[in-house]
Amino acid sequence: MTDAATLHAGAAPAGRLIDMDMQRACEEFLKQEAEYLDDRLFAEWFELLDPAIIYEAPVRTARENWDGTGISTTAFYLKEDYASIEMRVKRLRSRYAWSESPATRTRRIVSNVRVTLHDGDPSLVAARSNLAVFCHRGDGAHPQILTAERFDAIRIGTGVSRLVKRTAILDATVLGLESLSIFI
Amino acid sequence: MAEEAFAVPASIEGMVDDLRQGLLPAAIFHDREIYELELRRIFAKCWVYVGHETEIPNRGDFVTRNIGEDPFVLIRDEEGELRVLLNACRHRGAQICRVQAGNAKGFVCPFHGWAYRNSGELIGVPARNQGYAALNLEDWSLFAAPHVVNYMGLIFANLDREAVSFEEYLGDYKWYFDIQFALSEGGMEVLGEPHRWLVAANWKQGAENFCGDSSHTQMTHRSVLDAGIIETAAAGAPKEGTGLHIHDCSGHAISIRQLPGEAPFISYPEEVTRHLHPGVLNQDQFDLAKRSLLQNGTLFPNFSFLHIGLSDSPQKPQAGFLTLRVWQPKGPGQMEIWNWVLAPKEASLEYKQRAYQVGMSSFSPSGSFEQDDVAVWPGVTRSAGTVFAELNKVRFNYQMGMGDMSSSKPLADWVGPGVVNSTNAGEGGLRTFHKTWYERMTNTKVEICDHD
Ligand code: FES
Ligand SMILES: [Fe+2]
Repeated sequence: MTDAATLHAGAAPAGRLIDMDMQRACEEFLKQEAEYLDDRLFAEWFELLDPAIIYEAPVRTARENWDGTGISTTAFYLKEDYASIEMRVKRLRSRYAWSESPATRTRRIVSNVRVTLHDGDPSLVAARSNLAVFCHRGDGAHPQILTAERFDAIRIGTGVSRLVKRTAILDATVLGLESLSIFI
Repeated sequence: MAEEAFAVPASIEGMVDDLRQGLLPAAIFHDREIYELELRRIFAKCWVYVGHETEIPNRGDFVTRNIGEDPFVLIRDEEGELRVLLNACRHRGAQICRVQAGNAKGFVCPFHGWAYRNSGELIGVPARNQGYAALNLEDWSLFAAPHVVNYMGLIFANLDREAVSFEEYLGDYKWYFDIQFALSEGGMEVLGEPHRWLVAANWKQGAENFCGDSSHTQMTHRSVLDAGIIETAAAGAPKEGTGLHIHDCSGHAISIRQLPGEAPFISYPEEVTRHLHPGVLNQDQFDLAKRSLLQNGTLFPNFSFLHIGLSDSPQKPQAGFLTLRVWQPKGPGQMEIWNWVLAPKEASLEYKQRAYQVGMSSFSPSGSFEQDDVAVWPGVTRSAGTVFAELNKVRFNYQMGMGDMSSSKPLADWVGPGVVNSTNAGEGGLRTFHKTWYERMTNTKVEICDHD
């Protein structure tokens, strides 16, 4: 099992906040990303990923409070690299990808963005954010809501920024969605 | 089976004649009365999968599981014995375990504090001298499944005291079943906690699909063919020679794809296949595994397996893995799918991680295959629930490959048990599942000779 704090992608100790420009740049990056995904601009979204990306969403289980977080180190909903994400994006272009045709209408709310220097790599920042995705499918009147906390490592560059690592911790232990056919 | 037949619910009266014609009343995917009977006549009487020994390797390790909709705790007690305990306090019924997994020497009920050992024995009752002086603790152990079996690492439980042994239940199907679990000497190992997710479809939809629905892959999974991560040999149109459909095998069914003249061995690489030996399997079983691209089947009622090799990207080599499923009933119109990914125990840690990644990327809530299965199945449940279906006694068509529908006849000289077709253009496995279902629901024998 993993302690949530150790998932912070090598974050520096609390308090070592970075300057507001960097904070702003990270927030803009995450908003841009959410916009691409909500608009289903997957090619544009894919451009935001670093070729060395590690993209994970572990399974979690409800445990006793004294028995860790229940966040698995071995089981995942997503455990992706650049090539596997490329495959997923490619699949979505098929008109026979039934889970996403007709597409899930998603609305991503990204908030509580906390940015710190990255401990391991000075070229990166560590961004921790909350995510709520409202998913509407077909003619269903009510959305399925997916919530998660994300621990990202982002390379903020001049003009181009890239997502280098993401760990998305879903709050659910049993998914209410019939499939996880969206990126989180 | 006991002699006495059960009362037949009105919505499936005449179903034997339907089955004989390869038809299936839509009501079985929707009717609430049918569902309630399934919980009692099927899930309370059949051998139901509750977990794998590698999920709970140490004494006190437990996971919470379900039989039908009833909650149980699967635990390895202090003696190392596997117990399947009803998650309900014997005092007044509170749940003694409120988490999904952990390790415990015992459970103390959060309501009034009755305390149980991890074997289920009651060992303490608060204020006993004042209020429960005459209580005989031995009479108030946690309820437990009367039959629990560890079969090649798979733990099955049966709530029916009169149940036949697991071996008898498995019957001739053992020949195929064992191939999945005994290829390596150490057996198979579960790689991590299960995926669990809700799908608005009846539990039988998943169970029948794994019995050999070969004609759905080229349509349902066409996007994966488009994305280039599977070849048409493994997921393309049904064909003579590449597919084997084995049905009417002690009430169970299996589907196999092979590459004629080749030995893909479920796409396990050499670093894994060198650990694979016949062992308890005979040479015919072992050779069949070698020739196989994939094998998938359902052990009635709701335990399925898929032994296959895939990749998460066309740029990466294929990796073999085994996925296990439980199609957990959650009312007539909903199921919870449980999914585990396994690999041979002797494989390297690196390979296991790769196998997990590939398994998850194809068969899981985010799986490039599975996403599309569950996008389609809810439609069936919805159709089955229409007033139109009820008023018009709608029957679905399961006739593919049956009688005059196909020129292919069962193989006469097959090495294994069951009725075997060398084409997978048929739905014989699905018909087998529904025959078994009807037998269990009515406690009768259905004699239908099915030439798929
Ligand atoms: S219900 Fe468990 S102690 Fe009373
Ligand atoms: Fe499928």
